Amino acid sequence: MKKKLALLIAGVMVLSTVLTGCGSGQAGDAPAASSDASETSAESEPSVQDGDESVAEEEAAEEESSASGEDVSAIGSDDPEATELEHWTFTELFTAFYADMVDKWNEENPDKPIRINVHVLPYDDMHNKLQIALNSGTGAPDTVDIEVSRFSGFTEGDVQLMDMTEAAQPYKEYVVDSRLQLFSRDGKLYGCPTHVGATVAFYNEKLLGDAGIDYKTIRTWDDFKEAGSKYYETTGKAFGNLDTGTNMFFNLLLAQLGGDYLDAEGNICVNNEKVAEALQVMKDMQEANAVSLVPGGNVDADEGYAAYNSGEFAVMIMPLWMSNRFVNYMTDLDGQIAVAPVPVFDDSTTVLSACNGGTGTAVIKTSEKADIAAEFITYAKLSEYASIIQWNTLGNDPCNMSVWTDTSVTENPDNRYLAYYTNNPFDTLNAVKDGIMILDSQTTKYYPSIGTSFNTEVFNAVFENGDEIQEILDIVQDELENEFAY
Amino acid sequence: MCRTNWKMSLHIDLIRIHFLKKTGGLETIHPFFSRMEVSMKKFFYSRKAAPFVFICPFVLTVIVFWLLPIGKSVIMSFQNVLQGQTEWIGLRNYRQLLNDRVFRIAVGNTFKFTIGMLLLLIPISMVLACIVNSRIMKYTKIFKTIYFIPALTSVVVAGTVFRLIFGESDRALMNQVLQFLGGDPIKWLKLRSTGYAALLILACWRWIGVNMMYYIAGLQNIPAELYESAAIDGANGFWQLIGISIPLLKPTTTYVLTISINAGLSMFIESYMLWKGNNSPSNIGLTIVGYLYRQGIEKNAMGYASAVGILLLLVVLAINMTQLYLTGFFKKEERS
Amino acid sequence: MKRHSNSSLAARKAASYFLFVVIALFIMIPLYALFLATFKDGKDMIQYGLSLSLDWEKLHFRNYSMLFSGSAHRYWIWYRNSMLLTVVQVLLTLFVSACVAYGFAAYEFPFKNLAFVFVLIIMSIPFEILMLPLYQQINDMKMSDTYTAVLLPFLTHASTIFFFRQYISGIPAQIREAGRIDGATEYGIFFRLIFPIMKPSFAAMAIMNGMNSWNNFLWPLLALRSDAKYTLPIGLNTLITPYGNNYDLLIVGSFFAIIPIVLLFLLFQKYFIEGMTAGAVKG
Repeated sequence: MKKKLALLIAGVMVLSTVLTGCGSGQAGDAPAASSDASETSAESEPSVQDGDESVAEEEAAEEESSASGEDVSAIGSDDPEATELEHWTFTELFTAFYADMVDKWNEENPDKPIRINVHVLPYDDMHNKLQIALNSGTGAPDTVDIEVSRFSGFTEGDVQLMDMTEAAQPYKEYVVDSRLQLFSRDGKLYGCPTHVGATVAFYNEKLLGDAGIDYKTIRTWDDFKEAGSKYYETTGKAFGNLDTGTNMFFNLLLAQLGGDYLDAEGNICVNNEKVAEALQVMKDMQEANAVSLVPGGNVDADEGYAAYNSGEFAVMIMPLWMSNRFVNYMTDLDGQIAVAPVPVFDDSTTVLSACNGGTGTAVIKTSEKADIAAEFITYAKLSEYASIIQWNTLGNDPCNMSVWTDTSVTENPDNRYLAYYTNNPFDTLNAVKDGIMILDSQTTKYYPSIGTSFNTEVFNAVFENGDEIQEILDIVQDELENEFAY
Repeated sequence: MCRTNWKMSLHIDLIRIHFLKKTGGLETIHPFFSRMEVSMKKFFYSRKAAPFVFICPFVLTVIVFWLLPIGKSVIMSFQNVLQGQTEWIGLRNYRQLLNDRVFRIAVGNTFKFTIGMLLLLIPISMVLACIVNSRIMKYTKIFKTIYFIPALTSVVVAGTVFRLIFGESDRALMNQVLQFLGGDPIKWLKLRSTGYAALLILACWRWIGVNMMYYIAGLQNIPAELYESAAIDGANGFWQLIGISIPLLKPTTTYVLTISINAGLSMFIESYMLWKGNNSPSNIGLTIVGYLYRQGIEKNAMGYASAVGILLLLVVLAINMTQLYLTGFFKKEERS
Repeated sequence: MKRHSNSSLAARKAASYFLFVVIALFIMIPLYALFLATFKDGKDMIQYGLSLSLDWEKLHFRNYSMLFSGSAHRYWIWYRNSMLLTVVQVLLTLFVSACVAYGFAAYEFPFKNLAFVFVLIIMSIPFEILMLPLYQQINDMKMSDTYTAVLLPFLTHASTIFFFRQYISGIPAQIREAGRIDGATEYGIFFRLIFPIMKPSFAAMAIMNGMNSWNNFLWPLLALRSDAKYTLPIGLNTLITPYGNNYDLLIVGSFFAIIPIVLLFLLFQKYFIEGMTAGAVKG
């Protein structure tokens, strides 16, 4: 009797779940497409899938997506003749972005309608599946978002990504060149950038002001160190960030010193003196309390946001795409942060910023729709309109530089990112415009492994455990040589 | 308890068989069947064919889903697998592996973790099971349920929760506890010792209930009279544990040991979720399978990853064989 | 003498309770913290981490209303997929494994012991070693992104076979003989006589397999590609990205992911222990 009851309950449970599953499936078709990019996507990003706000857009979105319906976010033209692109990405964030871009495209190119099915896959998994699909020649999408640290994995051997150099030609002169270089190999453009990722300094004007420090007087790293020491003495709190889990800050210093992870012949040589020098610079700053270890080892993670939000740190050296983390996670700092160019070593320093992080959108060469896909992707990632959407919705520093001087964008009163900062970040971008660089090694097959080694071993050894710099560099060099022995 | 069950169902089934005989076979329905049945019957009643029919699905799935991939893995471990092209490189993957410092770290971590897990999980769950079995307490059902819940929780969920609990900030739960006890906040997931502790705690949290269940089940098969006579002889709980429970639980312990060793050696997702990825500081959370994942999936070095896998396979087999041999399993198998 | 043993019994009793309560707390606190977090903002999680602190004014039901309104419909699709896969997986695995175990327990055939040692060996191979080549193989067989690919490798589960074999070995052989005398076929004996007797062991293994299947992460992650087919663990994992975590859905979704499997356990707990006992390893 009891058993039967138990079975019955279990049965009902299963059944009801299946039913609710179907039920809500019909009710809320096209979930991601419905959150209209221009208004809600930045919020819907990591945290809020804001039901209320997207309700208004729901109807329109439902119409759009009714053609292919179902659970994949199908966006764009419902013309049966439309080109249908399968797109893979690893973050839901981009779904809304593509929704915007495909609408604009269809509006401007009524003769070439496009529909795009965006599949959101887990991060590691997406890259892995792409690799295997490309290896085996089946199951690959038409277009795909590849994270920059994984990009080099796809540009080895017989490259399966399409050379988009030609398709990008109309936009090339406006786009930050270093950013394109990051996704180019041997002069061929294999991916379209999402943003510049220009590394800048975020100063908490309020906290610094309270400690009697004017960030505008900080020009060199020596100034930075001095200000940091003073700030630490006055407040007892940390000044700048020292990350052990990401090499973004470090890459900037290395580039400014004119160094790289490679030797002159392009072989791995992470134990060279420039690398050691850059580490020593950071170590000195750590000892002077100008930079301190960030909780969790990375400012771009939960604990890092929390530390900044509660005022435990005053300065952050990070790419400008942190804007959207500031606005979403560090809400208590609203109206306190100023954006400025990073300090330099001296007047002869030519590197004023470095490109870090990001995602390259690639087209699969073997796709039947590769040509139109390339045309669409270059448009969706490099055009002026794309840059405006990137900035307005996601707060990413736009890679199309014509936007940087367009006052309708740079002084847009509705933009939440502009409203957040005390000054205009575009002034900083324009100031460093000609000094945005990357390391040569960032485009080699070695880079992912170098990154892993530094982010897991080197920084922890040097900054956390206080090990000898040269010693750990030699160890890691051996490791990498062993890995790339042939 | 179960014996009575069998008796009862035996009774029921004898009635069933009787019923079956009465209704007769298929031939009573139509003569056609009787002709067909001659060959069919032979098959259905053959005691030679039956075992093969029964184990056929097993053999098939093992060949297709276990032996083929392992074979493929062995082959790939001698290759350099690149996009669209592969080349034979002999033993180079293995040679490289022996010089690989990170791999050695992974091996060290894995063994340390496995041993820690065995030392904690087996004695604790055995003692807990003995206490439950001794009927000294009431409400054991509630405890059993509570202890079992973590095992039902997905590692994705558990790992995320523990990552947040072991956070670095002084507001994270573990640090709050430390501060409450008068200590200072610790960077739990950054130091080798505390990172190891966090991983062990997560593993214990998940598996203690399951192991306890195995032991409770094992204890039910030990006749209660043994304990009664021991009690009359003046043996207290501790001596009963030493004298009766531990020796008679040997088969259960063997089983728990086997699954724990396997779980320990193949541990990966726990670490993956706890450090939100495969890159822990100074690789303190890197396991062998984690290294396999890093090489095969993150770096796409399938050949090298296969070599890691094959080495792990050999280690696992060696350990299990030794263990089965030492516990006398093979002897029994031969006799039965 | 007697009083002494009485007081020591009481002390032991108290100590036992203490031990069990402490461990129960250790086990429940993370879950309790998770439960509390379902009433907090996802942003809260990022800024303050997971803690037991309670700020009554900040607690709300928005996460729940989001979960049950249309906006989280992806979640319920994952939920439904997980349910479906778990039920099918458990039924299939139990059935096939029982057959195999019966083949081993009830018959003599050449190389039987060798074959059974093989089962034990298979049991000891961590699946993680196989996952990469198996994944390639699934691709070659054009089976990627199907539930078949998720289900088939676990069709015969070695430790389930082992368990069932132990259980069947304990069933008196006379039952089979009686069946044969009464003219039942070999398969009839299994399905009509043995199957009903195995019920408690089915309950035990249903829970063990259900638990594995419900929480299975690595293999479905590799085998499935389209988000409409994701299971809960994978779906929840898509919420953790390098571009920030969707804690609102992650936390409340995680909490609800535990519920069905716990209910299943509660319902079958009695049979579970009974079955485990009967099939317990006797060496």
